[in-house]
Amino acid sequence: MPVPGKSAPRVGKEKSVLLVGSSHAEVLARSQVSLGSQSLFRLKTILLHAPRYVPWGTWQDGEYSVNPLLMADIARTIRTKKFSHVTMMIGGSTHFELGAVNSPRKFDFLIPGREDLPFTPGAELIPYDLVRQLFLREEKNILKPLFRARELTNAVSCLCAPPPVADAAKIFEHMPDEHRDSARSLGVPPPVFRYKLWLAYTSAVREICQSARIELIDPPPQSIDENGFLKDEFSYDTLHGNARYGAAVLAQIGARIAAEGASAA
Amino acid sequence: MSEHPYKSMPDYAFWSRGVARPPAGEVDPVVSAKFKITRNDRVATAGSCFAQHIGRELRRAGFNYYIAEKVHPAFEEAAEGFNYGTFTARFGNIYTARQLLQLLMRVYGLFEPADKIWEERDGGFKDPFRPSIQPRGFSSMAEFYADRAQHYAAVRLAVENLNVLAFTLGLTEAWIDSADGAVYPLCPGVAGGTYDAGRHIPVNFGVTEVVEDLTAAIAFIKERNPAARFIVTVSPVPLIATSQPRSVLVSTAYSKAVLRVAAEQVCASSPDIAYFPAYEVITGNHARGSYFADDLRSVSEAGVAHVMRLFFRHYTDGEIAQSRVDSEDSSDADSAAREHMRAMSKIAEAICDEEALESI
Repeated sequence: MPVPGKSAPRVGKEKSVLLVGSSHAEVLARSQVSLGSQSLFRLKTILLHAPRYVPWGTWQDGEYSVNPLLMADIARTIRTKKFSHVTMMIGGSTHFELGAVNSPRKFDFLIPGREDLPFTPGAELIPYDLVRQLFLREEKNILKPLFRARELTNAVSCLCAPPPVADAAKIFEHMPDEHRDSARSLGVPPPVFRYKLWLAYTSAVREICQSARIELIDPPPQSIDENGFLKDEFSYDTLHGNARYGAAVLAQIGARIAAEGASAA
Repeated sequence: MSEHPYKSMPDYAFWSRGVARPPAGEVDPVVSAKFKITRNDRVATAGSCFAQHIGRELRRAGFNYYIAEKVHPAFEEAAEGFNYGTFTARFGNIYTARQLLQLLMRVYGLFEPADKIWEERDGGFKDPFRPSIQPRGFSSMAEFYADRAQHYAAVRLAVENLNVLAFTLGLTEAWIDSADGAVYPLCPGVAGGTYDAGRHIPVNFGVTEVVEDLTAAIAFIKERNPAARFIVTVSPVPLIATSQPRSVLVSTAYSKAVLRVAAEQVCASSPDIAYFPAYEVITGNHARGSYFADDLRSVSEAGVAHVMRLFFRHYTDGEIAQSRVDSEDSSDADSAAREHMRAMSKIAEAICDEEALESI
């Protein structure tokens, strides 16, 4: 595994970071282990798929609730330990669910200011605001642990989910067998459609974070190709980054802590 | 005592027996129906806000409320305020008969108003003829025109495939563009656009104009869909404001009187056009005003329930299947799209689980 970028700041092992999240956070946790002595800070993780929290969030009668045990653990951990930074990578799959495989009712949308991104011929138009609304509704709920953390400390960030991969074959590689045939028959939308969904998704998350005064950390620039897709060497599957991606994100967090330290000094 | 025609008349012809004595909820001024609606008939709705109740209740009762412009199943949960299913297509409230006629002409390319698009200060774009169709307007000019084309296609689909159109006449007052007579649903400046006193003119249609416009609109639809039938109602909802130099109460009385007379004349012209007295059920003395909410404008649920009870009693065979899901919503494509979203959610879950398992 390559070490984080040469410009990665030395943060100091006395610094510690609390990472809360699901599968995307798992990538970072593994990268941290791989970095070993080269890690920039100590990392404490709260993983949402731990048996203790399952299910960590549920919809019932149109209302979303987060497992109280999870919320309590986050609050207790932040209160009892001195973290330099708290960061979260929760969810990050809604854009995949909408766009990895063609819907039987094919749709597309136009992103304002991005007229360069083409519209799928013959697709049903969904107003951009409705696409945005869907992501806002979803993310406002699943990011509740993030808001709870923000109530307890200022040093909180949200990690953006990685952009999609351009290679459609990757979508089928990791697909459960029982779904592969039907997915193949529906086909995969053009890569640009998946990219548009990711842009709309990140725009919604950014809006939520801004309103809660939480920084959104974008994917590492070096992991993105000239068309906005996740480079193959940074991807694990169609949805997640790999250990190299994780290391690059950890370096971003390190830079964030260093910047906080500098401004505090 | 000599014989006279009133001696043989039924109860409904007498105020005491038809209106004053029965419990309010049992007053029934419908008497008879010109035709019946079956559960397979595609019933479209359009008109003022009161027409929204008709569509909603039709669907609830298991009738085939025809929605030609449906929300994509993947976005159902987030679509509140985007007016999918409020009426048969996303045309918003159609308050006047002239507005209905012009909508039909627009969707078939026979009228292109000079006022095409409103660019708002917040960067959004609004349709002058459905300014409240979604919360913040359209995000770009390209989206506006693409959505309008899609909407027009849905209206054409509805016109050519509906079996029954329930249309509610709402207002006689409107604002028009003096450039070409285009009728706005709302005065420019209220929900979008900019009011221009030199261009935007208030009008108050009379009986003749409403009759001509409604007759022309019905003929327009019949030309493309000869079997179409119509149920006309007058909205009991008072004007929220009047542009005329007089009390809104007086303007409301005038407006409803004109619409009621126009509806009577148009409905008398054909066995395929029926008048349904929702206006009388809600505003009649029997209700003692109880069918209006505290704002004295909004119709209460009890009032809507009374109207729809009579509607189902007279215009259907009474076969109300509460459990039936609207057939349009259950189309194969939509069912497949919903199933697809469930599958994609499971796939994402499985991929995420796999990622998590890697760490064990």
